[in-house]
Amino acid sequence: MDQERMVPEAQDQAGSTTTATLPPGREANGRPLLEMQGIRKAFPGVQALDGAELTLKAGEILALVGENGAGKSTLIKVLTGLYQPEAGEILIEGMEVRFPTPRDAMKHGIAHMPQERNLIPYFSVGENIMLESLPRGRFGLVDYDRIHREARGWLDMLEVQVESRASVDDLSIAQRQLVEIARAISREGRILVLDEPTASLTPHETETLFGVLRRLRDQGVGIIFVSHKLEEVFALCDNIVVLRDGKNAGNKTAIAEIDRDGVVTRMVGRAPVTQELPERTEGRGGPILELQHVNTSSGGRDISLTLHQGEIVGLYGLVGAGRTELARAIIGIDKVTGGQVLVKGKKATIRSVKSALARHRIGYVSENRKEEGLIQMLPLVSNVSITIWRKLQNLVGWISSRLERKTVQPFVERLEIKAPSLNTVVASLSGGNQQKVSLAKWLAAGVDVLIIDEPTVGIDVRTKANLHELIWELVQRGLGILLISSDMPEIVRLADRILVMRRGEIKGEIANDHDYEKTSELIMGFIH
Amino acid sequence: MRLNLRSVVRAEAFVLFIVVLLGATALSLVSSQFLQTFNIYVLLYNVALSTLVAFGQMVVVATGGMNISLGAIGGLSAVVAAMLMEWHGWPLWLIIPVVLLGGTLMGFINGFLTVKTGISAFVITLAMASAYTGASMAITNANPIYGIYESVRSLGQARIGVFPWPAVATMVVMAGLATWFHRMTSGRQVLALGGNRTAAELTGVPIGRRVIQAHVISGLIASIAGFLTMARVQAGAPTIGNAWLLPGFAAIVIGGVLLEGGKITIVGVLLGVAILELIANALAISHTDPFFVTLLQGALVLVAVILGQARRRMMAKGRVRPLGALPSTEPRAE
Repeated sequence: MDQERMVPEAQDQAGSTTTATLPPGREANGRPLLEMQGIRKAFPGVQALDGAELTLKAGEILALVGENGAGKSTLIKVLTGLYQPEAGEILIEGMEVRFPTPRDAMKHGIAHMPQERNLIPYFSVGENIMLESLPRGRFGLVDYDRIHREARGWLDMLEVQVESRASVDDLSIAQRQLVEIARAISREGRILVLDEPTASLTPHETETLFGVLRRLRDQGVGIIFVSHKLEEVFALCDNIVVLRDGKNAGNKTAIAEIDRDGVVTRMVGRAPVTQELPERTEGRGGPILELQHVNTSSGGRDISLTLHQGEIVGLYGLVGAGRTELARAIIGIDKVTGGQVLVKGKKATIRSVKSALARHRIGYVSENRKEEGLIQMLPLVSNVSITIWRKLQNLVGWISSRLERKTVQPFVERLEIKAPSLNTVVASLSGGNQQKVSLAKWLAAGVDVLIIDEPTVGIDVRTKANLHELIWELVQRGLGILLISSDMPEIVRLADRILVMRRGEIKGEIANDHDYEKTSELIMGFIH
Repeated sequence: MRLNLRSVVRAEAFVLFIVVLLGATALSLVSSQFLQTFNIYVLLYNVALSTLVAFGQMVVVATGGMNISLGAIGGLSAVVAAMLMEWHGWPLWLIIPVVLLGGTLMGFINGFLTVKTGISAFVITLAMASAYTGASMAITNANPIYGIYESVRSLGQARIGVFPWPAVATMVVMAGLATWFHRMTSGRQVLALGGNRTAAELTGVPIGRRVIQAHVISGLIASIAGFLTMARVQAGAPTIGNAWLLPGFAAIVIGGVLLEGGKITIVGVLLGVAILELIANALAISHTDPFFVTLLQGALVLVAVILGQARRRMMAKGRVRPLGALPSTEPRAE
């Protein structure tokens, strides 16, 4: 084995690297390696970062944690040049820097393993690792022998048993993740950012990774470790920063001075003050949708749940836990491969959205209203009536626009959709009103079961409250609603029962008494 | 694992090779005309020119785009070259670099507009195709320019036995592309961004520069093909390049290039062209209606695309998954 290429320090001695790694605790000019101050970043309808701060020293492993939507990923994307902040500054060793593109961040020694899968298909493992600066040999041509030799060193360091020459398409998910980690480490940055690096690793692989990270830390690298797995945070990190609603929840704290409960408390905080929803007078009816040990083609395993008439069942989980995939299987887009689905007590096989709607009266309000839920360039009226065109058409297939408007009007009024007219193009409506149009579409179709996926992402607080009342009222009128949400306060406020999903399985059920602190900690217990 | 995929990839090109071999054998058995020197010369000449066209398309397809203006660039290059000869009498050593530079420039405009506007290469090159063709028509009044030099005329007919001299250009381009795509950083980066744009960007690949570079190379190849076609038809006709689009796509799809980008095959494309030209040759020998050739090409593209998709589906069902389609069952933050 080629010892020289095993660890970065060996390369430093050989003078072959560009970054200077300092001994722990010694800073170039007494300033921390990295400071991010007052970072603000807004997206339409949501303030993702609201003055977030972060300080990283050389030779430190810093945990960055927070709930879904707390702003971790946004902060990382600002740091790595993918997003431009609206306010705030980034300093490296006290010098202010700007990163208009990821390349600029890299030039300042920031190496990043992004959370999304980011390998180049059809390329070899080695080339994926070395892609940033492919070693060149004679005539400036790419030197594959050197690529694979150097990549081997990084792979060995992480104890990855794959051929450097293998195509990445042949690797398992865990192996791919390790290749991505190898790529980030191979850049030998002085700041290493790892966003959920252990999501698909085995405990042994994780332990090897931690060993490597500790060694890098001791060589003076500053490491930011983003993770949902708190036990890993406690096992690895020196300090912790918690984000909540785009702000820091508490100061940076040494890991020894805080416990799990302390971190969770910072993560969930207190529920935002909102008006109490009125008591529902109608009790819940019989079961209208039952899943019994259902497996799906998209990775759902042994899922059982029951939804009653007049009930809201919340489905909570991290993004990617398989909730949307479950919804897609229920309405017949993805396949149910095992178990049983019962609609109103009768066994049902739903093979298409059309049959979900027409035969079983199940509707799905998609998470992504811009791309999947609405046809942006069509007017409001068509977007609502699209589910019932078939019913509206006369014998020759002609759809009377008067009848269409007459049918749609009551729903627009009931949901208080604010639009200049029924002919207004949906794209020009606000996010909240667009979401109402998505709902109106299914109500017009007369569904009994409504699956609502992330109804209030990117919607301002007031419209959000308004939508919550609306969902509440729909249930009062006898619908059964399966509410998918990553917004903890939302799910605690609305759901009668909460199911927690993780990796395609239902991990637990909580009877919700709408006590935020208690319920949120119960939920966290099932996830972390 | 690795051997498995390799053998699949190899088999892909190998199957094409067998098809070419069987086709040629069958033709030589069926028709006495096929193996005649002149017929083979014509066949090789067609293959040489069509391969250039297919490569010009492949370079942009590698980025995940397409170049609709390929034929228009070829046509304008041919017309400009003929114009400089007949009207201005420039020396050939000056005309050739000017024409190639022109192709490069047109490619640059395509790439620059695609990158700067963020509009798809399809739309940009569709519009630019119209512009370049318009320029050809304006220059020639839609009539071919016949006054090209004797040296160029003889180049268009130069051959040793069955080997057409202009095929040397194709071989040079082929070697150049193989080196660029497999052994040079910029070429590797073009494939990387075609395969996974975000990942490439996060790795520090200068996306814009590489996309422009691919368009530039495509334009250069188109102008080479245009010039050689002019030499062959012995006139600077504005119609040169009119029929390059479909056969170009047909050849690269049959060869195994992914239209989504990120995967190319130089040998595959050469064999894809060979298959198409064998079919055209067979139809010509049997005096079939030439319009039928176009119809058949269309059908072939369709079959090739459907087969390619079926193959990818099979890959997706097995161990081998395309990277973009990972099941998202692991928890991700936010």
